Amino acid sequence: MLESKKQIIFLTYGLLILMIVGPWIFNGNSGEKIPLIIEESSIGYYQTNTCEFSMGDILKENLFNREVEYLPDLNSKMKCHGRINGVDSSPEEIKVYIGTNLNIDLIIQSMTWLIFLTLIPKTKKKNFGMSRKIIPVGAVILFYVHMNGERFYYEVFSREFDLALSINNFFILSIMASTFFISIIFQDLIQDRFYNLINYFPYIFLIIGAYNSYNLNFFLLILSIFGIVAIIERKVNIKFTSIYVCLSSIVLITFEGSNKLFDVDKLKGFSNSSETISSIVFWIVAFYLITSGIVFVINENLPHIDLKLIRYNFLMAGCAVFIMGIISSISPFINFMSYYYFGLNKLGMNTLQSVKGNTWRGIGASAEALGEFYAFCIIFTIITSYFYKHKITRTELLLICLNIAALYRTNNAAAVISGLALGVLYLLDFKVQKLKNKLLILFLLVLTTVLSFVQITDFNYEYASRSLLYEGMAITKIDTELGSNEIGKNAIDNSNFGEILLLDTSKISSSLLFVTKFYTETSDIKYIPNPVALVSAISVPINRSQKWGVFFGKYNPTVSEFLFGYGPQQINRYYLNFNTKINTGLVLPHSSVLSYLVFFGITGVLVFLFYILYLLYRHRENRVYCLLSIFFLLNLVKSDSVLYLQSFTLMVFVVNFYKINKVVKGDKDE
Amino acid sequence: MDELIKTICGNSNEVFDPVKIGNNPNFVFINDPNFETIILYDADANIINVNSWLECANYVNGGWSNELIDLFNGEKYLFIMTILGIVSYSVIKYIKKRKNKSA
Repeated sequence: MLESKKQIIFLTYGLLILMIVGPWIFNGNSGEKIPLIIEESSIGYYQTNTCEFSMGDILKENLFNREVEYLPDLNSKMKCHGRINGVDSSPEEIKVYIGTNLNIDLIIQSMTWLIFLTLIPKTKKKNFGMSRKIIPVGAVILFYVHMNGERFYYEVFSREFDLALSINNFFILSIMASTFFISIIFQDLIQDRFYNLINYFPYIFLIIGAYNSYNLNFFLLILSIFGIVAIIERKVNIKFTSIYVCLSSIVLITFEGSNKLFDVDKLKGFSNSSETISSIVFWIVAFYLITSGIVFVINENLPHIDLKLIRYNFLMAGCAVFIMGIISSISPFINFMSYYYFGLNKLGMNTLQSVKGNTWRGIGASAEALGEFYAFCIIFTIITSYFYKHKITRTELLLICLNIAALYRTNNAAAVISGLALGVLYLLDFKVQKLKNKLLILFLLVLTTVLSFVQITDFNYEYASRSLLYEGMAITKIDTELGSNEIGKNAIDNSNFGEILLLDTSKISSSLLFVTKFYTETSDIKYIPNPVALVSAISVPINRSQKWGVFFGKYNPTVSEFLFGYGPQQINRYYLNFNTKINTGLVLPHSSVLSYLVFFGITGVLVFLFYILYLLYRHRENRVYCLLSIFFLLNLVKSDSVLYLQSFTLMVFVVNFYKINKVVKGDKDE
Repeated sequence: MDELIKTICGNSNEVFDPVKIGNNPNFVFINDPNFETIILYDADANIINVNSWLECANYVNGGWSNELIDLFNGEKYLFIMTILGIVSYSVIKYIKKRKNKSA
C-alpha cells in the first residue's frame, strides 16, 4: 500500500514536471532543419526560420554559448511557445527571443509554484469551511476584473486578447478555466500546510511569483484569496477597513481616467499599468485583500510559529537568492529559466560584475530591496539569538557569512549603517540606565558623526540645502524661458529660485512650487534650519538629492490628490501626468514614504506613521520588536522596497511582529 | 528572407526587386505557365493563389506564408484540456474521499 502510494506520488510529480518542461523541449522541429550555433553568421538563418526550433533544439549546440541572451517574446502564438521566435544582433550579445504565450504561461508557471508550495511540510488541517466554494469563483472574478482594467497593457502584445464573455471566445475561457483549476488545486494543497506558511514565508524572496506575461503576481492572488477568507470568517481589522474604505471612496470619486499606459517594468505584478476605473477598483480591492490576508495568516499561524525555523529559513532564502544569482549570471540558459520559473520581475543579471562598479542585484529586481533583505536576515538572526537565547548553529553561522557576502555585493551602505546604528542604540539602552544620560550620549554620538562626516567629505551646507530644489528644477521645462548671465548660466544653475518664481510657474509641478515657495518665502528663525533646506541637506550624504528632486519635479497633485493620494499602486498617474524632461525609463521616488504619499496622500502617510509610533510606544518594552521595526522603517525612508510584493509582505510581518514576540515569550515563560 | 522565398517559392533565375515593384503602382505580375500555383496565407487567414515566381516572392516578402499557422486554435485545445483536468482532478478527489470514508 505504502509502496504504491509512493509510486503514485512519484508518477504525479514526474507528469507535472514533464508538463512544465515539455514545451521547451518537445515542441521542436521535425528534423528537416538543423539547429546551428548562434553567432553573427547564423542570425539570418534563425531570422528566416522563426518558430521552427525549440529551446531544447538549440541548446544542443548552444548550451555553453555565452554570446547569447535569451529573452521572452510575449507576442508569441500558442504554437510558438518555447520556440525561437527571433534573433537580433546587438553590440553586447546576440539576443534570442523565446516565444511565450499568455495562456500557457498562466498554467505552467502556476503549476510550478504550486509544486514549490508542496515542499512546505504538512501541519494540521485548516478548515476553510464556507470559503471553499467562494475561493475559485473569487479568483476567477479577480483575474477577470484585472484583465479588463488593464486591457491596454495586454493589447500591446496579445493579438488574441478579447474579453468578450462568449462560448466561442476560447482565449478568455481558457484563462478562466485555468484560474479555476489552479485555485481548486491551491486550496487543497494549502489546507494541509496553512499553519506553516509564516514559518516558510521567507522563500518568497526566491520564488517571486510574477507571471511572465501578466501584470500579476501569483502570491498576490494567494494573499487576496486569504483576504477573502478573512472577510468571510470576519477576521479583518475594522478600524483599518473603515479608514481604508473612506480614503478609497474619495480616490474613486475624484478619479479621472485616461488611456495612458505605464510601462511597469520591474514593478510587474504589483503596480497598476493603466488609468481605468476598473483597474483602480482592482488595485484598491487587491491591496486591501493582500494586507488583510497577510495579517490573517500571521494571526492564524501564531500558535504554530517556530522562530528558530523562521530564522533558519530567512538565512537559507538569503543564501539561495545569492547563489541562484551567481548561477544564473554564469549561464544565459539558466538565466532565462530562473526568470521564468521563479517568476522574476525582470531577468537576472548576466554578469558577476557590478553595474557601473556599483551594485549587483543577482536575480532580484532591485539591489536596494535585496540588500535590505540580506541585512534583515542577519539582524533578525542576531537579535533573536540574543533575546530568545536561541544559539546560532554552525550551519547558521555559515549562512550568515554568505548573507554578508550577498549584502556586500548589493552595496547597500544604508542597510549596513542602519544595522550598526541599531547595535549602538541597543548598547546604549542596555548599558546606560538613566534616560537623561541616554539622551545626552545619543546627542553627542549624532553630533560627532555629523561633524566627522562634514570634515571628511567637505560637506557644503549652502550647496546641500538647495540641491533638492536644484535637481527638481533641472527636470522642469522652464529653462527655455530663463535668460543666462555673462558666463552662460541661468537661474536654475545659480539656484536662484526667487527669480524662477517670478516667471510663468505652470511648467513647475505643484509640489515643487510649494517647496520652492516655502524655501524662498518663509522667513527664517535664527538657529533653526528651514525644513526644506534640512531635508535637502540630509538627502545629499545618503545619495538621494537627485532622486527626491526628480520626485518633486514630477509630483503634481491637486489638493485632493495630495490629501488622499492617487490610490494604491497607482504610480502611473504620478509618472505620466506631468510633462517634464524625464518621461521615459522607470524613475522611482526612491523612498517608500514618498511612494505612499503618491498612493495614499498625506492623510494615509500620517495615519500609517501614527499607527507605527503608537505600536512602538505601546510595545516599547519589547526590544526585539522595536529594534526590528526601527531598522526596517529607517531603510524604507530611502528605498522603494514597498513597491515589491516581497518587501511589502516583510514590512507587514515586521509591523505585526509584536504578536509573534508575545507568543514566543509565552512559550518561554511556560 | 531570400532563404524563405527559396523555401516557399522554389529556385528561380529571376531577380526579385521589391523596391521596383513597390514604386510602380501599375505593376502587373505575368502568369508563368511553367510555375505550379502556390496557395499563400496571411496572418488573418486570407488566401491568395500565386502563379509566378515573382508574384510568390513579392507576397512572401510581404509576410505571407504557405502554412496556415493561425488557424490552429490553441486556446480551444487548452480550454478543453483544462476542463478535462478539472473533471479528472475532481473525480480522483471524490474517489479518494469515499475510499477514506469507507476505511
